[in-house]
Amino acid sequence: MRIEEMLKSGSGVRRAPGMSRKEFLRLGGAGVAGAALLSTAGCGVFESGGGGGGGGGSTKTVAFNLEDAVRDLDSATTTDSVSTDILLNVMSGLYRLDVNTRPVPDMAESVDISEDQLSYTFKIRDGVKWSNGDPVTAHDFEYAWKRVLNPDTGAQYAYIITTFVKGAAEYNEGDGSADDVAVKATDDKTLEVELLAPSPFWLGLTSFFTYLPQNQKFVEQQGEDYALNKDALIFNGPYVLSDFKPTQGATMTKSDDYWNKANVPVQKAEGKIVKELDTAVNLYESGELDVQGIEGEYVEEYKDSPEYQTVTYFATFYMVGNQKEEVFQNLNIRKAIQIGYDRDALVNQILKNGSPAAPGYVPFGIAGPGKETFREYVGAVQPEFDPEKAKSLFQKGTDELGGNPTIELLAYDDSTARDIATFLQSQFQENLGAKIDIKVQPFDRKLELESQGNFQLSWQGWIADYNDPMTFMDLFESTSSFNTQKYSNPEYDKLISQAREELDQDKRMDMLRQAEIILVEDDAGTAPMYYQGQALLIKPTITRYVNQPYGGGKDISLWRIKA
Amino acid sequence: MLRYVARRLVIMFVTLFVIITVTFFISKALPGTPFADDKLTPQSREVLFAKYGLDQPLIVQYAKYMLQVAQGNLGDSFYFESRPVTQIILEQAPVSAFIGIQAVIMGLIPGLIFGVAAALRHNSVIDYTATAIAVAGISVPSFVLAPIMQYWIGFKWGLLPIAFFDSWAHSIMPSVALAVFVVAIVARYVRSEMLEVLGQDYVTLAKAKGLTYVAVVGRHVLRNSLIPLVTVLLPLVVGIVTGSIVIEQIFAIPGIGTLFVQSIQVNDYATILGTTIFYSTFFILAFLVQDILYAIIDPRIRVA
Repeated sequence: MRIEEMLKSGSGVRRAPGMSRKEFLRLGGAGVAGAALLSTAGCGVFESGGGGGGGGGSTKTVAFNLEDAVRDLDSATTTDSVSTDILLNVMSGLYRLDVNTRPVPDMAESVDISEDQLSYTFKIRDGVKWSNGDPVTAHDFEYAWKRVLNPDTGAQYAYIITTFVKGAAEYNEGDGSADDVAVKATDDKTLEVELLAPSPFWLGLTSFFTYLPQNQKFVEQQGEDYALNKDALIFNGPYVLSDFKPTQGATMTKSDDYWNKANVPVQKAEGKIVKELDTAVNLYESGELDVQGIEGEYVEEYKDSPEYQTVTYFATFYMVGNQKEEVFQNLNIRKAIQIGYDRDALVNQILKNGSPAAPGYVPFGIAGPGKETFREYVGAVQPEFDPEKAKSLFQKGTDELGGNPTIELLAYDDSTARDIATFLQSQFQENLGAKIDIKVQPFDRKLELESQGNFQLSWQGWIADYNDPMTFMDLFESTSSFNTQKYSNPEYDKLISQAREELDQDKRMDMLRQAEIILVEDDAGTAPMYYQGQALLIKPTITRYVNQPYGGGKDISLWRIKA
Repeated sequence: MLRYVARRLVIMFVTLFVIITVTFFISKALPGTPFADDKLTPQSREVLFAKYGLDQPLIVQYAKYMLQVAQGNLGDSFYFESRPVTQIILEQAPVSAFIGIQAVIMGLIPGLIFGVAAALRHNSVIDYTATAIAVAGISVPSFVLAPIMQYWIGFKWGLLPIAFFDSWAHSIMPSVALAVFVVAIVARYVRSEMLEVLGQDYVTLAKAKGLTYVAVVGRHVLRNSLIPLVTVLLPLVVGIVTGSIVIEQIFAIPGIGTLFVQSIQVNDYATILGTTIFYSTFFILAFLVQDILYAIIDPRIRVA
């Protein structure tokens, strides 16, 4: 899915640029001592009234920042990462991702996969139940998935099922029927699913929120009110929602009914909503938050602290030149773009949020053959920053074109995007001698311009829908609707479609490896920039913090905490 | 008086009607859609549009909405999947109102004291101090004051909670941050008005009649100085009571100020309209109250 929307956070109050937070606060501290006096004088009697929330002190409770309002806890219709962070903890799918992002059985006890990798038969675990006491059955899965697919539900994430499950797309598009969807609970304990094509990563997808089960009786009984408050929900996950207000946050308490409760050490998790980063860091420092993402100057301030960590998501930001435009039909110019800007400076000086520079298109961590990640397996496919070589390539390119045209760089209306655009502009002007105009558009409009093919140079972000290189690679197929840059190479298309049919995982990975080399190294069809990262402050009491790099999010049942 | 109020109420409904109509069409003209996911199939988009009635002609949508509002239903939010807007407003408005009313009280009392003291001791140290406070209060915006208070009072000294809205103690800093501005405004207006009134002939007459100092100041000077204050104060109060996005964001308070701004950013039509209606009603009622207050303070102003 497009990642930019996901990253958009509530627009906070911004300080004057060029002044660090500490300077700002010290400076102000003297000037408004009067106000401080007024405040303390006015309420000295009640000064101990604070400390309503926060779990920093207790070893069994963690408090973290959801950062935005909880919009929708109905797993069929939800889309935002705040809600899915909560759902991941209070609900359980057939499988759950472990600390290494590998699928392990959760509500399912086991699965039988047919020889052709198309038929899956799940056995539901004995004794698993909903928080109202009902057993979790195979029917709950069939019901939930079909509810997602039902066109009347209007589920935005239906594609995550329709792309894989046979008959699902037809039903979702209104042409087929629910009975023809190849999901069948043959009895309470058995769920049979048929896929459209062999998809070794699909098992991991059953942990995705859209694939979570729902109890038909309960959902129908609640009707319109389903999931609107904590009593209008039942849970089958490691936690239950003990308190929930959409704009104030959610408290999750460990479930007594969860089958694997012995391996869930955190007793209680409080999700607070703090949009302002300065406030959140103050709360973290005072112990009211145990985990907090940071960026910008805070990264500078904390990067040597033992509490500083970074996580990298399965997400790539990559530049594309529109190949309908003459200037980007030129291979030398495309290659010059790849190596014509300092990627390390981009991540370390501009982004400052823990994102690493990209040596290839598929991000770190995505599964490759065997135990290897795809990136380890393929290695770097994009050459390093090299201003001299870039300049000569660009010179050659413009000679071939017969002139040095002004290139329009499409950017969108977001402070980070503006910074990136300005950085690229100055780098390309300096290193290549290119003439770059920046065109800033609202994000929706940027997407529209791209889909109309109405741009020259642009960059995009993509986060994995599932743990496999294919979720990235198929975007550059000639036929993909996301291929707005009109990159087309028959050899690439052939490798991708072959990989889609290939049953042997090693052969499949080799095809994808070759495809990535063609795309990035040979054709310079894209210039991968960086992988989305996050810089975090984590209290030492939390000895293991897990934020799944795709799909779910913060899986608190996997966190470990000092007793 | 009653007839006057009744007529004003009728005008109020007409005004509201115009405001809703204009906001309705403006919000629909906002660029973008509430369902901007590019993986949404055309079919699902149609379903979503149908679900929220967005597939119908604008004029039909308008008629339906007006009918709904007439029945006291502000529709369902798109952003908070299907949650009734009325419910969201009712949950969040009281939080903003509590902090706001407290801020007004915190601002009004010291403001009056400073203003009166400054005027009565014109060109003295008290006057200069009060003026300095007023200037500082107006010049230092709340988005500067609030983080500084939070850092020192909340974080460094630990005197008050840093953020959230869990107890009364949590509401103090946000209210104070808002109140400083009120103090400044009130002090300034009361001072300048009092100075003017103090020079009036009827004050001299009152003194000449032998009235006590307290009676002169309390009954004649102060009362007559308050009229302009009412004029500036009411819109200010409404603004504060209906929530400040800056303060709510900084202190992580689930108030209504944030809701309003956010709903526009995400094209949440029902919430945009709902909060607009809420604000407008407040404002119009405030003006009504203001006119009535005028009549009470100054019997010469007759409402007819």
